[in-house]
Amino acid sequence: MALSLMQPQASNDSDLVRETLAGSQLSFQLLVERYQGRLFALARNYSRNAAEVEDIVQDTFLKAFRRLETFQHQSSFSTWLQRIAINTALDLHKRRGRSPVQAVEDPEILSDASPGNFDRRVMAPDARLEQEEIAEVTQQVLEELPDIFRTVLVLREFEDRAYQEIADLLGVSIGTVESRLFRARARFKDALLRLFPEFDPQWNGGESQ
Amino acid sequence: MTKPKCEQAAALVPGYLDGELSEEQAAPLRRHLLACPECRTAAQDLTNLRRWFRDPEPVAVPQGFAARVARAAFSGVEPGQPLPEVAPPEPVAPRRDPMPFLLGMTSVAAGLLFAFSLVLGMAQQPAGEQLVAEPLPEILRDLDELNAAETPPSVPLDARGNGARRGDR
Ligand SMILES: [Zn+2]
Repeated sequence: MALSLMQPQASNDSDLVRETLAGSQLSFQLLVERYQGRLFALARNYSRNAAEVEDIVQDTFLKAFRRLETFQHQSSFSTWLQRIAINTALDLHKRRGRSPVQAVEDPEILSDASPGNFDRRVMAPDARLEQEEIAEVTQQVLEELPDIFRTVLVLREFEDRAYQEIADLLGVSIGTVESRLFRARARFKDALLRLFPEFDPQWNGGESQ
Repeated sequence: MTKPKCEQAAALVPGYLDGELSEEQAAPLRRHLLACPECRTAAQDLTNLRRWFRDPEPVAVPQGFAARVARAAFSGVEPGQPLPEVAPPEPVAPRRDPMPFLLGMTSVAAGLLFAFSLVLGMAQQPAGEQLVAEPLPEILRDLDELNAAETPPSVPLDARGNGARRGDR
């Protein structure tokens, strides 16, 4: 096989996977280049530490490399890789003990946001807030959420993924995505108003009524 | 006092704002939102919530990341292990004549200055402008237009924490 004759730029993912399995380091590097931006963007929603984000992405690619034989070519490499990335990020969370332990992964069983939440309103971020300030608030609130809610919000709101794509990534039905998203938003609102009561339109500056 | 129609509408609003509804589903919902201030408020609330998720800044992938990871993978580094240290990528060039080197550095500096001015230009845009200028999904604009047309301006967003004003009315 003449390496120099290959046109790796034009290769699709499946070809690059095959070439990697056949021993081409360059082909694997091209796969990494193709997806590194997307994975860094995904991973930074799980950590605010740049070194940790890099660790997540690096581990994702190393895991993918080791499992490359198990990749089914009829499915999407992109989805397969991002699944590994999400699981790697969540593993890191678990290892750091950051996320509340969930005995039951079924969001239907996890308790809802507090009752009355649906009547409470929330303000959009103030136009005078800097981009970084908004991101800081949002990340702090996301830290409060159980992983399954955080993940669905990240995919929907930051990553702008369609319900079907989220369902594929998480291996759940669209109905589950919808119900998780609904609960995640309620939780997010709850935590936002708890941590930052000034974004409650009814906020009276902290004086008791 | 929720009419059954409002319950149906409430169930559809997230999908509507997420762009997941077909036009056949969206059209009656839009009509309901026009007619029903309560559901409109609920939809606006979700819109407000979503504004906390701004498009994040572009990520910077570390220089040479892909090459490093590929090399590590092929040299048997396990996930969780640190990557082996690599020699610095740019070897020190022999410098007999300093002129090409100086010229090179000058052009690098010029490039950096240019990049820096770009960054500055970006940073000087007020955040508020960016928020407004960012193209909203059509469906969200619809909702904003609905609100603009049908309701007096709600809570002003001009200052943090003055939301209590609504209570003054
Ligand atoms: Zn209604």
